[in-house]
Amino acid sequence: MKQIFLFTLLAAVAGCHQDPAVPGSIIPATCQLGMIETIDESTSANGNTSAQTSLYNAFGSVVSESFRRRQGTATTATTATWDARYTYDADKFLTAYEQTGGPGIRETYQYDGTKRLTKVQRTAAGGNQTVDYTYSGDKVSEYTVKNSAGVATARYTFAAGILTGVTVSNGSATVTGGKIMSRAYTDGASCTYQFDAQGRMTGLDSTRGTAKHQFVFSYDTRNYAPNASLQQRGWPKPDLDLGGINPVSALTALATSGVRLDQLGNSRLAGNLASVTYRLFTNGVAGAPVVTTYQYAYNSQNFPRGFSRSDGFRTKYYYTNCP
Amino acid sequence: MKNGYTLLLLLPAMIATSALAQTPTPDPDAKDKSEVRFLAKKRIESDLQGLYNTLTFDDVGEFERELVIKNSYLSSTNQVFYNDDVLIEDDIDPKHLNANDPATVKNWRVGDYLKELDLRYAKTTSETIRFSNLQASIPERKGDHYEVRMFYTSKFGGIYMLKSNGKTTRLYYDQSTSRVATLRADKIDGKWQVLITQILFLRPTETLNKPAPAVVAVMPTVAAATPPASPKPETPRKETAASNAKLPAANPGNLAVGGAEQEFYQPTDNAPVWFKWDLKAMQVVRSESAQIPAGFFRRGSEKGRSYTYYAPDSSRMVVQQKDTIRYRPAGGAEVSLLRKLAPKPTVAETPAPEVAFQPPANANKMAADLPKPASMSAATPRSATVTAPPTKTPTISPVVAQSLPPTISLPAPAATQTTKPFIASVVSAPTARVSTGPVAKPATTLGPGLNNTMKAEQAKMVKRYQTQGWLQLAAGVAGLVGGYLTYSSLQRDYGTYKARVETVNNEYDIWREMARQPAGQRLDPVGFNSYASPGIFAAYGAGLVGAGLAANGVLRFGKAKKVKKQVWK
Repeated sequence: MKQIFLFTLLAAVAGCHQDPAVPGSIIPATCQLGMIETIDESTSANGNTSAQTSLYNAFGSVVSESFRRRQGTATTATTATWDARYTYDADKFLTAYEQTGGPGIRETYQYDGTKRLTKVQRTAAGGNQTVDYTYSGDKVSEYTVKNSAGVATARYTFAAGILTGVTVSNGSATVTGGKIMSRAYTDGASCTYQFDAQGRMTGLDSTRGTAKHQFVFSYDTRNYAPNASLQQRGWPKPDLDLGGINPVSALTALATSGVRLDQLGNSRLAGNLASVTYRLFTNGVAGAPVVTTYQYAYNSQNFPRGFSRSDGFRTKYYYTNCP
Repeated sequence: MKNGYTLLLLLPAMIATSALAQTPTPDPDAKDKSEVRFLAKKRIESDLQGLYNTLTFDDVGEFERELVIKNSYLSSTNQVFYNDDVLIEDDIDPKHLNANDPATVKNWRVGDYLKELDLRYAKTTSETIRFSNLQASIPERKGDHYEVRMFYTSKFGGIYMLKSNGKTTRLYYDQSTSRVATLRADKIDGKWQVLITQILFLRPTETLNKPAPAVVAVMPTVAAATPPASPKPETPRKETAASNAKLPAANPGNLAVGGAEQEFYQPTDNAPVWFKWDLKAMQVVRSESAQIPAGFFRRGSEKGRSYTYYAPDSSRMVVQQKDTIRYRPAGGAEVSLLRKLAPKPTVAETPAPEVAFQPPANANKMAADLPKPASMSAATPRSATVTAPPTKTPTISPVVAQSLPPTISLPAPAATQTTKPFIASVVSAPTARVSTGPVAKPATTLGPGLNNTMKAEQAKMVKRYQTQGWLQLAAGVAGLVGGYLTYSSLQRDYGTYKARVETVNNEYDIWREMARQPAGQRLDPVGFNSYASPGIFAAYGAGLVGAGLAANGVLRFGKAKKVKKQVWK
C-alpha cells in the first residue's frame, strides 16, 4: 500500500519542474541615433536644411538611411536626395551598402575564413575605388586604397594596429605616435596637426605661399552622437585610426578658399566640438581671430540632443531606445 | 530493576567467590567450560533475543512465525530450546516483573510462551526487545553434559495488548526484568551444543555460584538420574513444591472417575499402566510401572488438546491427544506413557546401529507432537509410527544406556532411524544456519500424507515468494524505467532550455562585440537540479525505490529457491 502511494506520489511530481522564463533577447536598450536634422542659416549657406534618418533592426544594426536636403530660396532652391539600404547575412555581417540617388554609392564587403573584413569595393559616380585590408595576427597591418584602374593611391602601414607609415600619391606625410603630424603636397602646400591625449585633433596649420590658416579646436566631455550606433561585425576594432586627419565639416567651406583639408584619414576618437578659433596669418602677421562656439543640449545618457552654432548653423539629433 | 541492582551488588562477591574457588591445579575442563559459557551467552544474546524480535516484527507472516516457534524447540537449524517441555516464567504480561508473587506468575511451556508473545506483543518494525548485563555461571558438569545459567536483564520496549471483554488495552512495558536462563550443553561430534532448558525470574537468593531452588521442574535429563544437590525451594511454587517421594493420595476428594479403562505402557520397560478419566478426574487404576503410582488426580488446566490432572502433592498427569500421558511427580523427572494399541504394527527388527547414539531426551514427546507442524490443521493424523508400541527395544550401547533417563527410550523402527536431524528433513526455516542438532536423534519419518501436506504448504510458500518476487521485480523495473524516463525527459527539457539561453547569449555576445556602449550581461542558466526540481527528486526516488524493489524481488526468488530446494530434498 505504501509502495503504491509512493509510486502515485512520484508519478504525480515526476513531470513537475521549473520553467525559468528566457527572454527573446537580452540585448539592452541603448541609444540609437535615429535622425540628424540640420538647419544652416549661416551667411554662406544660403538657407541650407537637411535631414538624415536611420532605421534599425531589432539587433540594433542600421538597415536603411535616407537623406534630404534643400538649399537656396524658394525660387532658386536646389535639392539633394538619396536613400540607402544596408544588407546583412544571417550572421549579421554587412555584405552590401547601396545608395539610391545622390552619389549613387554602392559598396560590397568581403570577409576571409575567419570572418575578417578583407575588401571593400566601392562604385560611385565619381569613380570606383577598392580598399584592401591585410592582417598580421588579428591586427590590420596594411590598408590600401586603389583607384578604378587598380593603382594604389594611398597605403597605410601598421604595427600592432598602430599607424606607422603613410604613402600617398600627391605628396608625403610624417607619422608619429600613430598620427599623421604633417603633410607636404606636391603643389607646395603643407599642413601640420596637433592632437590631444584622446586622439582628437586640436590644431591645424595650413600653409600655402605667404598665407597660413590656423585652426584651434576644443571639445566638450559628453558622448559623441555617432557613438550611438553599432560598429560593423568583422571590421577592425576599435575603429581603424588612419592618422586622425578628419577635418570637421564646418571647415569644408574654408577649403574652398584655398586651405588644404583633404580627408586623408579618420579620427578614432572624435568628440563634440565646443569651439573653433580661426586666424589668418599673412606674411607672418596675424589677423583677428574668428571664434565659432557650439551650444549643446543633452539627454539623460549624455548624448547631444542638438546644438546651435554661433554662426547660425543648427543640428538636432533624434534617438530611439534612449531611456 | 531491583533484582538487577542486587545482581550488580552481588557480582563482585560472585567473582571473588569464583576466584577463591579456583584450585592451584589447572582445571582439565576449563577449555570446555569457557566454550560452553561463550556459547551460552551467544545463545541468549543473539539467538533468543533474535527469536523474540522475529516474532514481534510486523513483516513476518503467520506461517513463518509458527515455523519459527516450532523450530525453536524442535530439532532444526534454529533450535534454541532443548525441547517443547522447556518452561518459561511469564514476563510477557507487564505486571509480571519478578518471582515475588508466584500467584500472578504463569509458567508457560516454551511453545505456549512464544505463541503468547506472538499474540500479545504489539508488532513493531524494529527490534524492541533487548537483553543486557549478560553473566554466565561456571558450567557445572552433570554426567555427560554441562549445565550453565545465564543471568541477564530483559527489556521489552514494545506494547502489550491486553484483551478483555472484547476490548484491547495497550499497556507499555516500563520496567526491565532480571532473568535466569538455564542451558544444557551436550558435546556432539566434538562440538558443544548449548540449548535452553528453562527461563525463570532471578530468585532473591540466587547468585552466579548458587543456583536457585528448583522452583520449576525441568524436562527429564540424564541429570535426573543423578540429581544435583540443590537446596529446598524457598518459595515453593504450585506446580513443583512437593517431593517426588510423596505419592498421590488414594482419593482425597472422593472422586468418582468415569470413563472406560484404558491401557498405556511405559516404553522403557513396557510396563503397563491402566487409566480412566473423565472431565473431572483421572484415576490410575493399576500400575506395573515402578514410577507410576496408582491414585487419583483432579482435573486442572486445559491447553488445546492437552488436559492436566493434579494430585494434592502437585504431581500431575497430562493427557495429550489421548494417546500420550506424561506423568510428572512433584520435583521429579517426567515419565511418558503411550497408548497400547491393537493390533501392533509390524516393524522390521533391524538392530540399531552400535554408535554413540543418544536418543533425544524428549523423543517420546517429540514423537507425539512433531507430526503436527505449525501450520497444519488439527485434524492432521498423528504418525502411527511414533505412537505404536515397540516390537523391539533398539540396541543401545551400554555406555549410552547408562546415561539415558528411564523415560526417554522411545523405540523407533530401525527402518525409520537415521542420524539426520529429525525435523530438518521436513520443516526448515528459510535460513542459512547450518543444522547442528543437539544430539544425533533418531529421525522419525513422517507419514506420507503429512509429508505431502507440508510439501504443499512449502510449495505454497515458494509460489508466494515467487509471486512477490515477480511483483516486486516488475515494480522495481517499472520504478527504474519510470525514473530513467523522467530523468531523460527532464534532461531533454533542460537541454531545450539551455539551448534557448545559449541562443540569446550568443546574440548578446555578438552585440557586445559590436557595441560602442557596452551594457547588459549574459544570462546565467539555472542548474539542472534547480531546473528539474521537484520532478528530478521524483525521478531519483523512483530509481532508488525501483532498485530496492528489484533487489528485494531477487531476494524473494532466492528465498523461493531455497525453500524449493528443501521441498524436493
